[in-house]
Amino acid sequence: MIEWLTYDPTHPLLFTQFYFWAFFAIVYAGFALIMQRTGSSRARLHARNIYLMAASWFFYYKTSGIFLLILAFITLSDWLIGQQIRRSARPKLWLILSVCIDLSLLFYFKYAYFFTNIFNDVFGTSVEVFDIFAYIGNGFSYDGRFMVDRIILPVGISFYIFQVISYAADIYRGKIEPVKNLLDFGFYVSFFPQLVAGPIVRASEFVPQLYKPFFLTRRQFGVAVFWICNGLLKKIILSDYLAVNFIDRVFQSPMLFSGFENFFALLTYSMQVYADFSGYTDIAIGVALLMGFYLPKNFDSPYKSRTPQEFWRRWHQSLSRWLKGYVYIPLGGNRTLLGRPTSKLLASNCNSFLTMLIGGLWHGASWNFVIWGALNGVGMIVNKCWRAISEHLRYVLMTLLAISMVSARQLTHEVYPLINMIEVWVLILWFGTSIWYVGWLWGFRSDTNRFVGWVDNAWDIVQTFVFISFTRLFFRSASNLDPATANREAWATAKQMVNQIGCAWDNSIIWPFMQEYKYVVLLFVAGMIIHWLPDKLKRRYRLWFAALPLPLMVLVVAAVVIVAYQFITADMQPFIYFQF
Amino acid sequence: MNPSRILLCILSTFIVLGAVCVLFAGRSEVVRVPSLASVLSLPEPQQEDTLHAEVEIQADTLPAIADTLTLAEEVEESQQVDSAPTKPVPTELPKALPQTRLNLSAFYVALGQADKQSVRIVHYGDSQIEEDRISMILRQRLQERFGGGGIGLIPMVQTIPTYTAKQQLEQDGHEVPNSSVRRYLAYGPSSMRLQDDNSYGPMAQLAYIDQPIDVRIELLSERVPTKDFDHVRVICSDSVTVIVAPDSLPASQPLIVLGEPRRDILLHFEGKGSVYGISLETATGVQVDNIPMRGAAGTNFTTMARKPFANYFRATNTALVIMQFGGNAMPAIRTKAAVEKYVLSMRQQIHYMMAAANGASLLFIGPSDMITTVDGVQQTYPLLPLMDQLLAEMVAEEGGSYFSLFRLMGGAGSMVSWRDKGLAGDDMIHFTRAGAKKVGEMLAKQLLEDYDKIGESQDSRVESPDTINSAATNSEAINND
Repeated sequence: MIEWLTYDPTHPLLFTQFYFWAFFAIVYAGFALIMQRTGSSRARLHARNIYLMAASWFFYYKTSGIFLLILAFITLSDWLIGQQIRRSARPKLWLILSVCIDLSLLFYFKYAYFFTNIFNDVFGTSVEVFDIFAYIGNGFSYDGRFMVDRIILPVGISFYIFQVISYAADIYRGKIEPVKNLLDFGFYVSFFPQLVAGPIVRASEFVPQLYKPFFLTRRQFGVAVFWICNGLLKKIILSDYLAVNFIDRVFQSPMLFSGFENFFALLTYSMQVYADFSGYTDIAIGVALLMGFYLPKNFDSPYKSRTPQEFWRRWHQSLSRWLKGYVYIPLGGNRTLLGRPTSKLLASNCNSFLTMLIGGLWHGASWNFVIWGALNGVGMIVNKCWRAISEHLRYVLMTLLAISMVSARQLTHEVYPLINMIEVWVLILWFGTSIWYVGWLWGFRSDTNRFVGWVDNAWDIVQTFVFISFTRLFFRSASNLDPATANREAWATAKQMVNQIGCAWDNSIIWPFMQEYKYVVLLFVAGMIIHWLPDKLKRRYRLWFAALPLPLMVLVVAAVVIVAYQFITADMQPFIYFQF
Repeated sequence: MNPSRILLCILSTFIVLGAVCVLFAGRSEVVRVPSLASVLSLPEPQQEDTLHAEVEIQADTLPAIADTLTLAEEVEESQQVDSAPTKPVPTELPKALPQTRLNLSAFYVALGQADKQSVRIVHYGDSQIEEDRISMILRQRLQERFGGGGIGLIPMVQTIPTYTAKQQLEQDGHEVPNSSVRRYLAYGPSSMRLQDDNSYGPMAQLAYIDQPIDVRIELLSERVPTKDFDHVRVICSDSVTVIVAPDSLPASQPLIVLGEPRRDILLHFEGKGSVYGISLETATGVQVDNIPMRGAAGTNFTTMARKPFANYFRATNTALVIMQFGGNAMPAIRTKAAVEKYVLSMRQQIHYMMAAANGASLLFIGPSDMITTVDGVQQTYPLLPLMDQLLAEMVAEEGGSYFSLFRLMGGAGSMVSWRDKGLAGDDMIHFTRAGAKKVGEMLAKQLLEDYDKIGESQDSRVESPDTINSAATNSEAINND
């Protein structure tokens, strides 16, 4: 029994395990009791918030152990500073203090290795990290149980730090009033469905809900259950199955697989990371909704995007909104660059690029994530510029690019995998652009001809999907690694995959591959088809599910769990975004 | 909806799922349903010393247990690896495996002659040995000790890159894709079989050329140091002409002697016919061939013509054939009868191989530990220990030597800790590079230690130059000692 209550690093509370749902049922029983038995409405809300904060802290303790103290410290510090921002005559100073404390903790736990490596590279030293908190902890524990030569990243720190920064900033901007009660504030910071992997809930979105009574319609209940089932199926069937049975194998040993297999692994990884993260979010939204809280939407079918900009409006929306509100706008938005007024285009592009770099670094302390962010930034800018020029110029430029790539290949007899990849991709783009251009000259326009519009849409979506998948080469390669080895290992993996895609492409292996990995291919295709279904249709079957009679809904949920169980082939995989 | 009603729905779902578990757990092979007990029980608390204790018990109570287990240092290494959290392991002690290490005496005797002649090891296996993993470590360690160079036999078209050679096809000085040459495999997708023939050659695959084409090969030393070669052996149809470019040495004989040690070569092929493989080797010392057969369970050797194998083994003075299979068969095996059937099939393969490699020793490397979900719990495939046991007994009866990878790893459940240590992938079936290296080192270490114990003493006794044949007799004598 004691194991149920104590911290076990190998068994965090995961949405995909029975233990979490048992925990949730118990928490919900207490929740239901409070909502029905407690006296006045105000006292009831207060009791609810305290109760859910206690449950959330237990949840975090089960996930991160002693790092609960960090969460507690952040809660206390930002609550106190929040009060001062409102009261003080110099609120900006208090805001700066809050941001400094929050970011210091984030930098310490997340970027210590990264900056130590940079320092060592620049100065030729061999400085090693030292965990001051572990050292202090050993002073109290007497048995030296904490390792001082290793800094462990607390789960979810990137998410809740961003959340408390938004709280201080929103008070400073006058969007919200400071939360009067410390425990209410603690509840906002630690609400367990979204604590460890988002969505990042801005204070202005959540704090008002602290004071609203529970309200859930029958249909909302059905929708909440739908999101939970949807998330479980996404996580277990699409994400875990694809990862264990194909993607991980390729990323662990790219050289064992042909170029096609490596390329397909990149595409399926895009599916995996989406199913994993959006699956988590779906469950978080559903669980929160059952308790009457509304979490912001985090994904809007991102692989339907026609451009990288649109992709980032649809992908991890809570982070994108946060970055826009607290990084892009403060940087100057589309008005100023480094504090100086400049042209709208230049300011917008430069600030977007910087925001994407920071967004990359937020995901992980490794150059690979910086490259990933930079690639996305460049992709957005190039695409924006590309769309701003005339159709004739676009075609001329694409033709020149294709000719130069082919000429370069003819002139150099050396084989460069990356050049090979780019050449093939440019030729495909040129081919597609040529067809589009001829059609355009003949008067086939996407805004007047429905079929042309559909083809045009599909062509843009494929291009964006392939581009985003390619950037994930650097995203996936740096995942699941401790910061000290991330750079070295990630580079090697990325290089090997590029080498295989660029130099070891073998068409003869495609059909045998399809036969050998038929379930992987079928799941990927099915996942993409469902993803691309029209929103109206998705909404229709969601509401159909929500309207099911309760006994039938219970049976359907049970069936969903049994179906998902069939796809569990290995150990439960942690959610990818837990590491961020 | 009020919270009480929602709670009722949540509890109803639990009750329905609980009822399904009680009523249907273990009833169907098609739809898996976990038992209620497995769902409700927490994962067992970490018992860091579980495996440690198990190995100690085995060592204490069963001194004659598998020779592999008594390898003190390897066991020690396994314990180090397995000090990480492990999943529950069966409490029943495994039966002792037969002692078969002495059955490699013929090989050790041949190894003692490696300074005068080439001694070949041919390593067949499934995807665990792809990329020249495991074999390259064995090659490195043996060549360090006994000399020899090159990387042994490789296919003309290398679709799965290795750590030891970079290989590409060329025409008119330009690289061309691998699909420029047709390939036929005796394993894998049925669409790649030969239609009216079963002569695949010693690599169980061939490339068919019908136009001039070049093969450029360069040794790599990124992962392990590779040694130069001074001989090239091309195994191909008589209708195929091979020229070493740019030296223009015509390959009138199957073995091309190069003037000097080299690390790269360009071979020009002309004519129409099959190319079964290219061996980069030296006149003396140890050669190790790496022959992975992705997806194969090892039961298809008997479907291939034996003569090409026999010719190759004889021509290359093959002293040891290693077969490493079982992993691909395990997921499809559900009953004890199926295990026995597989072992029977492998017995036929071993018969076949031993007959082809007349007088050479045979070493069978059994499957590694592999994890699956049984009744909601992650554990070793239930029939894997039995397969390991029966394979070992069968190999012993056939006069071969058995290397229990499963037991050397630490037995049931050890794959979890290998995964946790970064030695195995998340599928808990395949080794990572580090894991494969570890297996290679364990294998090389065992062979070298046994050579020191057995080979040298035998070496002094053997006077006949026909070492391989005479060693078989010696092996029996040693076994009876």
